[in-house]
Parts: sequence; C-alpha cells; structure tokens
Amino acid sequence: MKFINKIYRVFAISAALTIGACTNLDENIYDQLSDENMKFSEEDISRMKGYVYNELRYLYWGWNGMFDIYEESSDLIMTPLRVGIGWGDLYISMHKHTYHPTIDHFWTIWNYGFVGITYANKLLDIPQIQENAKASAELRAMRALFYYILFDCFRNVPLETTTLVEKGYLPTQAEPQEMFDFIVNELNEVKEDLGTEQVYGYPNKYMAEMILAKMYLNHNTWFSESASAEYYELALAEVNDIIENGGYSLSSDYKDNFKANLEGNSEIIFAIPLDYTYASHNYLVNKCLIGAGAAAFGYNGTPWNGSCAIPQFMETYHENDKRFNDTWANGQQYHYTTGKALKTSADDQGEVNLVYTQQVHSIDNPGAYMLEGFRFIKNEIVAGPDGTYGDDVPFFRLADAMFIKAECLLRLNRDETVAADLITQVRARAFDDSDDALRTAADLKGGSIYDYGHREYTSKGATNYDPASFVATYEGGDDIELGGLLDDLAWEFVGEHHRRQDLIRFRIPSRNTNVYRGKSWFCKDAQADQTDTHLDIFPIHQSFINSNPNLVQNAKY
Amino acid sequence: MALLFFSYANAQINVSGKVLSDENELLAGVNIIVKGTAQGTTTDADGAFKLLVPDASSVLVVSFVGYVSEEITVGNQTNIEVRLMPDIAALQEVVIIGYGVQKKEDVTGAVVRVKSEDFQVGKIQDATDLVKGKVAGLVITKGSGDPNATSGISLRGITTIEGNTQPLILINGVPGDLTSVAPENVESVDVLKDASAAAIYGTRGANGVILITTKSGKRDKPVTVNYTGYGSMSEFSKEADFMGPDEVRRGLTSFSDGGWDTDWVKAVTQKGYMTNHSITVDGGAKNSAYSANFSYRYEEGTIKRSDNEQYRIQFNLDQYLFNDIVKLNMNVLREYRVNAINTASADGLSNIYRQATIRNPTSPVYDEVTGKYDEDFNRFQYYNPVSMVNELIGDREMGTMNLIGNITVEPISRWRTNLMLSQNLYTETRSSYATSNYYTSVTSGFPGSANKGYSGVNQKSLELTSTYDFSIDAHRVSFLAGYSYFYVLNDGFSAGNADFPTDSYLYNNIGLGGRLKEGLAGMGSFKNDATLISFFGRLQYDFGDRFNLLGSLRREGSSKFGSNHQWGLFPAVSAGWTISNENFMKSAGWIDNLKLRAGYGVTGRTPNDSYMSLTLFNYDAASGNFLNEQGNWVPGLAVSQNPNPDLKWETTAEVNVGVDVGFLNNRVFGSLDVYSRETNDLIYAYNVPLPPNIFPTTMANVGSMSNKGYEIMVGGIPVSRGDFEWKSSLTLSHNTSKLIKLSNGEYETADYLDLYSIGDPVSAPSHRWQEGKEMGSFWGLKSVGVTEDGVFLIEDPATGQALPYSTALNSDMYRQILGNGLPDLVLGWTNSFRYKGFDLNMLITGQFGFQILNQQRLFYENNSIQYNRLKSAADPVYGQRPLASTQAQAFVSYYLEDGDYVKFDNVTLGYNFGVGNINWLSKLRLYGSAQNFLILSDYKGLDPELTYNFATPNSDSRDKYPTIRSFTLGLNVTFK
Repeated sequence: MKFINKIYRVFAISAALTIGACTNLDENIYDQLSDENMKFSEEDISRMKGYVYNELRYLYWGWNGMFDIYEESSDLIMTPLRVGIGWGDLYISMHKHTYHPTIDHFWTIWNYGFVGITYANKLLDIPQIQENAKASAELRAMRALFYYILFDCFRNVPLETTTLVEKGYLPTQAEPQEMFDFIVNELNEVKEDLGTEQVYGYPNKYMAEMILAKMYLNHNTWFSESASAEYYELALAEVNDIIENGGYSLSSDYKDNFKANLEGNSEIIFAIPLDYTYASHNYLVNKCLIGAGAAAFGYNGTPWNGSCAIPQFMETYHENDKRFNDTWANGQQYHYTTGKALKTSADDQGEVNLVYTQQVHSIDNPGAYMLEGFRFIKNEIVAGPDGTYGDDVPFFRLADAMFIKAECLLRLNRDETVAADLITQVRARAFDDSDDALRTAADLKGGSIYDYGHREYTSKGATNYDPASFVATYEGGDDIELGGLLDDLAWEFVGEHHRRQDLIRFRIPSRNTNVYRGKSWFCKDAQADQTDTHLDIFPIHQSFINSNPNLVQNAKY
Repeated sequence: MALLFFSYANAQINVSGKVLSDENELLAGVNIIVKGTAQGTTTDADGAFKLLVPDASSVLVVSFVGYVSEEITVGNQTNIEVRLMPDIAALQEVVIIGYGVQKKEDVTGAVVRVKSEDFQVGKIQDATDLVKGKVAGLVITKGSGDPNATSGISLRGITTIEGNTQPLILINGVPGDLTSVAPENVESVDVLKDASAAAIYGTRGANGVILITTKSGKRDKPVTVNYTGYGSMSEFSKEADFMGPDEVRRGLTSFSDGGWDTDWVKAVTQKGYMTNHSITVDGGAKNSAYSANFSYRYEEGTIKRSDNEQYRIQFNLDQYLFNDIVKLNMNVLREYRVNAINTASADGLSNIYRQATIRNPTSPVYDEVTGKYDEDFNRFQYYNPVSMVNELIGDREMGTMNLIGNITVEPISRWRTNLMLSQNLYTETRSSYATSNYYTSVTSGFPGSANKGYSGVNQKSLELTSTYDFSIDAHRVSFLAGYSYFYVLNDGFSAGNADFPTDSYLYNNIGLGGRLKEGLAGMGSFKNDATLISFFGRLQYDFGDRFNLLGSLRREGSSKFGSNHQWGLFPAVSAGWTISNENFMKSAGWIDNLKLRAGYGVTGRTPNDSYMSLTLFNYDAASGNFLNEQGNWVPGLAVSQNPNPDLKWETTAEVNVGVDVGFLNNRVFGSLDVYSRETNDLIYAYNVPLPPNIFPTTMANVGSMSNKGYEIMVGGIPVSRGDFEWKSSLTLSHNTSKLIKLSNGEYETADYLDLYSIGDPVSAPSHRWQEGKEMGSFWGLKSVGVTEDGVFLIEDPATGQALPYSTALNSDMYRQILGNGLPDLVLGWTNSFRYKGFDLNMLITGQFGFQILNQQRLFYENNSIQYNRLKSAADPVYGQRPLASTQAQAFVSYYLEDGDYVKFDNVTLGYNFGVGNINWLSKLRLYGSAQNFLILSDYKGLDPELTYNFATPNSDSRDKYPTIRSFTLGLNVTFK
C-alpha cells in the first residue's frame, strides 16, 4: 500500500504542475489588432477616420446604393427586366414605386449611412478629437451629410451622437423636426471651423453650406405645415456665399465634371474620390452597357446589360444639346479605335449591328430586349480594365449651387432674370449656338415638356412593337409648377442623386400633388389618391426593423 | 555459492503435459514459461509440451490468447494437465465510450458500434460510407458525384444554427479528418449518440461523437497479409433532359440555329473509373504487436479533369515491457492526396455542369474560323464549358501527418494510467492557372491569371488519463480521471497575379504577371489559434449484472469564449437495468436480453471561429482606404466586428430513454431509443440594431431550439437453414427540430429568420425559421394554377384569392409556408444472404415525408430564359398550358416536389473460395458491387438524396456535380 501511496503522491504533484502550466486560455492574436495586442497611436486613431469616408463611398456605390435609389425611382433611368438575362424584381419595384421593406436599396443606404455615423461618433467620443476643433468639425460635417441623406430617404431615423451606450441599448427614431434642427445646427456650428480651404475629398465651409442650402430648399416639402418662404431666403444666403466667395467656377466642358479624376476641377465643391486600385466602386459601365458595347469605349470587361434611359425623357432633349451625347450611348456603336461598326448577337435576331434603340418594350412585360434603351455613359469610361470603377463622384458642384439660387429666386418671385441668367450660364457650355442655350424666366416657370404618361408595348419579339399591344396614357407636363426648371435639372443633373428629390419638390398645384407621385412615365402609373403621401419616403428595410423593436416602420409600409 | 548451485542443478525437473480448453479441446501454440526466467516453450499440435524446470518451486505461466492465464507451481508433478478457461472479458463484446471501453451489456447510453465485418463494401469514399444505414439516427447523405466530395453527416437533427452540425470525429482518440484514414484499415466505428455518452467530450459533444479505431496487431499472432483491391466504373445516375438540336430548330428555345449538333454534357464528361489497392500486414510476438497498412487509390470523375489520387500509409506498434506493466504504443498515419483544380463542384456561374446543360446544342465547341473556343459573352453568365474544363490548370495537394504516442503504465493490476501525445499536421497547397483562353481571361482582358496558396492546420494534444477498477462480490466499480489539452493553429499564405506574357509558365513564375507592376496583384496571409483545456472524470458502477450506473463530469475551457465565460461544466448520468438477468425472468427463457436504459447529459459547442468575443480592429487594405491630405491612398483602420465579451458555449441538455431486447437465442434483437434535447444559448450572428452597432450582426448566445425523436433498430436472422442464411437489420429514425426562441432580454430580434438558397436572378428566400415552428420550412409563393397567358396564379394567403404572378407579389405579405425539407423518417435496411460460398449484401436507404425544391426546374423549366431549357419547359403547367415567355424565373410552390425515396444504395454479390487445402492462403473472395443502383422516387430531379444542409435543407441546387451510379469488381485475399 505504501508503494501505491507514493505513486499517488508523485502523480498528484505532477498533475498539479501540469494544471498550473496548462490552464492558460489566453488568445494569441496574429493577423488582427485588438486592445489586447496593440497600443493605439494618434495616427491609428486618425486612420480610423478613413472609414467615415469609406462608408460614404459604399453608401453611394455599394450595390443598390445612393445612385440607384435616386435614379431608378425617377423618370430618367430604369433597370428593366432584360429578356433572357433577368435583373430582379426589386428594380421593377423601384420603377413602379411599389416599394416594400425587403427591397435591398433600402438596406444599402441605411446600413452604410449609420456605419459612417457610428465611426464618426466613435471618434468624436475620443477626448483628443473633441479638443481638436478642425478634426471634430470635419467629422461632424460628415456625420451631418450622412444624416441629411438618411433624412431625405427615410425621414424618421434615429439620432445617435455617441457610441457610449449601455449594453442592449435600442435607439428610437427622432422626430423629423428634431433631426432637421440637428443637421442645420451642427452645420452652422462647424462651418467656420471647417475653413474655406479646398482640400480635395474633404469637407470645407462651402460643402457644409451646400448641405444647408439643400436642407432649406426642401424644407417646405418636408414640413408642409410649417412651410415658409423664409427658407428659400435661407437657402439663397448659403448659395450666395458659395457663388460669391467660394472661388469656384464652371468648368468649360460639361464632360469635365465626370472625368475619372476630378481633382483640380474648379467646379467641384465636394467630391468622393474613387480610384481603380484603391477604391474601386462605380459599376455603371457594367450595369448599363451590353457586353459587346464595351468595345466602343475600349473597356476590357464584359458588361451585364442592365439599366437604360426612359424613352420619354430622351424626347425632351434639345436637338443641339451636347449633353445628350455626353450622357447617353445611343444608336450604332463603333469600335473606339478602328471606328468599325460593332455587331452583337441579340435575342432571337442572331448577329445584328449593335444599335441601342430609344424605344423599350416594357419594364417587365415582356421587359426590355437586349439592345433596347439608351445607355448612361456620363461618367467617364476609361479604356482598359478601369471602366467607370475609379470615377470620382462630383457630389456637390457649383452648377448645383447656381440652380438652387435660381430656384429660390423663382420661388420667391424676385430677380427672375437673374435666375434665368444663371440657368443660361450653366447651359452655355452645352450648346454651340448661344441662342439655343438661352432660357428665359418664362421658359423656366412654364410647364415641363416631358410627355408624361404610361407608355408600354406588351407585344413579344425584339423588333415587334405591335400597336395593338400599346398601353398608353397622355398626361403631359404643362401643369407642373416651374416645369421648365425641372426639365433643366434633368438635363444637367441626370445621374447625380438629384432626380428623386427634385420630383418630390416640384408640384402639380392643380392636383395638389408632386410630380413624383402625380405623373406616369413608362410603366409607372400616377397615384390616384393625392392625399396619400407615403411614397415620398422609403420604407425602412425589414432587417433593421427586425433587429430593433423600437423602430417604427414608416406609415403605410 | 557452489553448494547452492549444486543443489539448484540437482533439482532440475523434467515436466511434460498438455493444455486443454474448458471444452476439452487440445490447444496448440499455448505459451508456457517458467516464471521469472526466459525459459519456456509452446504446445504442439496435440496440445502437448515438454519443459525442463529449475526445481519444485518453479511456477509455470500458461497463457493463450482469449483465455485466462494460469500459474501452476510444479511441486512434485512431472505430468501436468492444464485447463484454460476462456477470458470472458476478452470475448465479450465491448464498445468504445471515449477514454475507455465498456462491456456491451453495461452500456447505459445510446451507443452503437459497427465492426469491420459489418462494413459496407464496394466503392467506399471515406469511413462514413462504411456505416451508412447501419446506425439509427446517423444520417449520412451524399449529393455529389465529385471524387473529392465527402458525405454529409448529421446525428439526431439540428443542434446548432451557426453552421457546423458535423459530429466530433476522433481517429484513435484524436480529432481527425474522415478522408485521412483508409477505409480498409478501419477496425470499428463507434457512435456516441446521446448526451449522456457524449458529455465526456464536453464542448465538442453536442453533435454526437464518432470514434474511429484503426487496425492494430495482436500479440502472439502469426503474420497475416491482406490485400483488398477493386476497380469501379461510374456514370451519372440520371441525366437531365434538356432541349437538343432538333428542339432548337423547332423554335422551342430562344437560340438561333448555329448549324451544329453538339452534346455539351458529353463534351465535358467521361466514364468515371477508380482503382483502389490496399495491403495490410499484421502480426505479433510475445511482447509486441504491429499492424501496417498501405493504400493507394486513383479516381477519375465523370466530369473530365475531376480526379483524386491518394496515398495512405499507417503503422501501429504496441510494445509491452516489464511484464506488461508498461505498454508503449505508436501510431503513424501519413496521407497524401492530389486533385486537379476544376470548377466541377463550384457553386455559381463557373459550375461546369450548369454551363454544359444551358448551352446552345447547335453551337460549335470551337469557332470554325479562328479555331478558338466558341464564346458568346453577350448572353449573361454564359461560358463555353469545354474551355472551363481545359483551360483551368492546376492542382491541390493535401497532406496529413498524424502522430500518436501512448504510454500506458499498469503498476498494479487494474490501475492503468495513460499518457497520450499527438500531433496532427494538415497542409494544403493550391496552385492554379487560368490560361489566356479561359473565359475570365478573355472577358477581363488579362491573358492568364495564376494563384498559389498554402494553408496549414497544426493540432497538438496531450491527454493524461488514469483508470482503476475493482469488484467486490457482485459490485463492480470503475473510475476514470483525466486531463486534456488541445491546441490548434491555422495559418496560410496566398498570392495571385495576372496578365502573363505567355501561358507556358503556368503558376510557376508568378512574379512575372503584369498586374503586380500595376499594384493589382493579390497577396495575403493569415494565422490564428485556439486552445481547449479540460478536466474530466467518470464513475461506473455495476451490480450483479443487473444494474448499471454511469456518471461523468467534464470541466472545460476554451480560448474562443469571452473573458466573462471561459469555463463550462458538462455533467452526465445514466443508468441501466437488465431485466432479463433478474431471477423472476428465468422462467421466460425465450427472452435473452431485456434492458432498460435512461440517461441525461449536457454537452456544449464552441463558436466555429477564434476571437469572436474580442474588440478587433484591422487595417483593411482590401476596401478600407481613404485619401489623406497629401493625396496618397493609405489604409484605414476598421473595426472588425461587434465585440461580445459574454460569448460562451452553446448548451445542449438531452434525455435519452432506451430499451434493448433479444429473443430466441438472440436471433431477433433490437433497440429503441427515444430522446429529447434542448439547446440553449444558441451561437449565431444575431441581428442587432444598427445604429448603434457598426455591424448588423453580433456573434452571441441567444436562441434556443429542441430536437425530439426516436430511433429503432431491429435485426435478426430470419432464415438459417443448412447452407443458407439470411441476416437482416433495419434502422429507422425520426426527428423533429423546432426553433423555440430567437431573442432574449438583451438581444431582441424578430421571431423569424429568412434563409436564402436560390441563386441569381431569384432574390427571394427559400426557407424560414420561425419561433415555435419546425425547422426546415420552405417559405415562398404558393402557385395554384396559370393564367390564360401562362403566368403563375399565386394564392394570396390573406384572402385565398388567386393573383397573377408579378414582381409586386415578391414580399412577405404573399409568402407562406409551403412544405418542409427535413424528412420525417429515415430508413436504412441491410440484408445479407449467404449460400455456401456466395453472399449477397444489400443496403437499402430511404427518406420519407419531406419536400425538395427542384431548382433545376425552377431555373430551366422556364420559357423566358435565353439559355437552353429543360424539355419539360414545353409541357403544360398544371395540365393547362406551358409557361409564358414573360413568366420570369421565380420561386413558387410548383417547383416543390415530394422527395420520398427508396434507394438500393449498395448491392454486392461475393464469392468466397474454399481455401482449406492451401496452407499459405486463408481467404479468397471475389465480389461485384453496384452503388446507387436503383432509385425509387417520383422526384423529377437527378437524385433525391442531397447533401445534408441544415439551414436550407433539400434545396436541390442548379449548380451541381450530379451523383453517380458505379459498378465495382473487387478482390480480397488474406495470406497466412
């Protein structure tokens, strides 16, 4: 027994030693960083700022991002069901305004918007940032920009300004007025600290003023009960400062504003820089062109054949407006170096000339055939692999400030010729003949020349437009207040996150509704009940509602 | 001294005698040694021996395999008759229960052992194929014909929602990969099904435990050499019926006639074949035993350039020292495997079979003029499959090196202490090159792209266990105490480049590609680790062969848990009552075995990945860049995840009640197990509010779910008459998985989760998990007919009205539960017939009471597409009319089919030659076998047996490697 006892003792001692050495469960971290394995330097903290800007790029060009949400719900651009190719239901819903909470467009903008806000909040929680006026002004301005976009899209959004919250904290939505005041106050507080220096890709005082101008310009649309002409005065003051003191000037060529690299462009107030290697996002070249159409631009990739122009909008362009060809690939396409007419096999037609047609059958019944619709090519398509992927986003440009000024003056019924001159100035570079560029106050205040109405061919076959299958209503644009200005906004700012906001702001006084809801275009029908305004804002994506029971879905979704 | 020597020499005695068994058989080859000396002999063929022993006090030790050793003091005997009694413990069947064995009669949990003689034969892919259909509740399915595909395994339903439902697989006690061990070298497979048995494995036991034991030699056994070889041919078990050139010419597709007749599927497929050779040598001397196996296999799949070449070598050595006080064991397993790189099993547009089925059968493989692959990139995601097969070059080399060493010390009888040390290294090298003719090169404009990558998993473990058992009268007691340390380190490196001036270098000169100079080449590396430490103990108590009690406790910690919860406790207790051994049952002589078992246990599960609980940051050079004020792009610092310091293990508590029966001299036997398990603190990336979180999900312990079911096994020998014998064994299992909660106080989310399994362009969920409902439910639009235009009519669940399909219906308002993908009943039925030298074995499997979403029909039985279509696209829908060309691909209930099937999974006919007179041969067997031989099912897709997917079960993908039917001829020879 003694022997056994001895053995047990030896065993117990060695086990105890083993246990002491081998109960260590610390994690070894090799390819990540954590509070545990590194000390954060000031530089590390400033590098986190990169994510505020990163999220803005994703918000804009993440799949179904800001470009799509503003254009695909408008009367300018659509992504139809391409016969035999697909594209999804969500694009059809965006066109027909049959919004519901599971459309991905509503996920992208909310997700990246709030991630950007949270990064900004995280940094603003750090004392050394708080003590640095310039750094905190920059972050607060960027945060205000995110809130402005979210507010415009969803109106009822949580207002979060810190990440120091309790475990299990569930935000609630802020009242629209509270959010409006927050954005406006924040920008007013920081704009002087931002300074007037133009640092490419970063906010300055004039960027803050552009957001303020947009907030004021749209105030009466967002808050019809407290509508007041005073807000146009406020907007006017902001843009006047930009125009008079900003040091910006219109670029000589319209196309210059959509070059891949916009650095040094005097018209740009705020840009989101992209880069093919470092920040490759803009997928328009692939989303718009047909595969063989890439050769017209020397682009190496194989585009997916999706989005195109709404045919009725194409009719509105002035025949000499150079912006038409700058914006739309139309008709026969030619090889970018040899000039040879391009061919492609399409639908049931076999091999045919690659000719984009203005006419499109339908959004989904039967949809669009492969060559139907003019393609949006306003953003530079760089030859080689780049395409549009590295194109900087001209987020705010001087022409926009000038348009805001003109619109405010027209809505305030004063200095109408100044207003018309501003529009004419912007148009001048688009026309060889200055007479064609000229817009009078009467033009701008008159109706829209957009031939609104439902237009759809339900007949099948790529070239078969059977008149018997034509579904059409004729509504025109005469009854639109400042309809001429609305047309000019389309020609100048198509594809620049403008149109949805403009269509909601411009009204049809006789029917007490806005153009967005009150007009039909292509396969989207005018809403009969003008008192139902729920479509003016989007639903909050279901996944955010599901993960936060405090969020209340926007009315009627 | 001299005197002593003299007397010693003088006392030498000549002893002779014989050794008999308890049944008076003369035993040959019995060892007889004089205790404490090297003197000894063995009995001859007549069981007789002769030996000179030192003196009358000499003790003879008589030992023989399978018998209890005897010690006899010589005394004044010169003729000794020794009668050896069989060693009951050795003959009795045992099962492996983790860190030890248990007599089969003593088992109290749901534990099943399948021994090598009961294994499947034929074309065996990995060790799970050996036991398919033989263990009730262990569902093994295979939905792919890829030579590298492994079977999907699930045990007793779904226990987790994070993603890994595979049981813990231990090879000789060490976690390992099923494909690393040669099926021919497996001795037994033991399955710990319920938590009372699996709880000894703590946080790794929640999905059950499969213990694979490989062959080892036996002491005092002459050398045997066994050769197993087979060859097999395979073909697709069924081919999808797509439109051919005639149908294209008749205008049934959107293709124009290209003037050719191309069978695209034929162009990328071939007869599959496989050859497999395995040699096992084993034997043993007095104090040692060894077993060695070498296996080689080569398989070419039915899709061209999908192959698998595999070498495996395993060596096991046992050495006994100091009168068996110390036993040393070494086990070395080396596996090397190489596959061609291909996209035959890829998910998505690069899937070869997908591109072959959808391609225009009137278009040529090669362009007539240029001689290049005929391509038509204007059709979306439409690529020449022959180019995909030929122009992607490369291989994947995998190596496993598994070293195990055991030192067992038994200083006093029945107290055994074992130290196991093991190291398991897995390495994988992947090299691939897409030539300038590969479709991605053509579409991207970069001639050639190369990738090379390495990854490794290095596992180390130490286990110290000590057992002691004793018996007093009718009481038997056994203790186990142990400590286990398990460490795993993963790392890897990869590089990619493109734009090569020539295709000749392949991936062997990767720096040359132009993309590197442009700053667009890819490079990456990673490294992470995890540690699992545990202390455990087990107590077994048996009384009078009637009552059995087993209790175990494991305290375990994992580095993957959050700092607030690093250690967990996993208890288990189970009991058994063998009624048939009670006195009052003596009268019921026809009952051989009647035993009740009941057990309760708690098992856990750790998160799949390391570091999930921490606040992590990362310089993300892939997407997180910003422009700094100097105009340079520098990486931004990202937050990597929402931290959760409360992250802990998932807990599964299970009650298992079972009964084992045996009648008529055990000619009929069976068992029934009923279980109920509840899993709490389910680990999942839960939706969290955004804001205030940066990520929309956090890895957390929130939900709970339950699994309830039963398992039946019935076996028997229905006929045994003369030369003919029929053995049969049936397993049935039923399981219901139910989601109980997805929220708790801290994490409040919606009461459902939508799961997606249907690819582009259908952007709708296929399944929904709903609190309080069964898992596996299909969730979508219910079609009830077609309109006059040929558009689906969809039932509005609110009003019951039929609405014509439009994209506006693609919202939750119109969706409803359409069926369920989890089968109600799973069947495995093994029959073996023996007549003289012939034997016929049949494995029949089946699943019943479930639906399959036939995605092939969803995508290709459609007239809107620009791809080739199934011939059935021209058939009327609901007996009314074919679908209109405006009916886009959509998930509607029309594509849900009943999946019930019965399958002749394996049929093998063998013949054992009589080898009685040949003294160097002990066995010669020839067999022919057919796998996936016959499927009885109404399912219109290729094969109703799909690879198990717990989240979106039985969604039959359009992008697949179709299953195969194969025929095997094999030979099994044992030399002595």
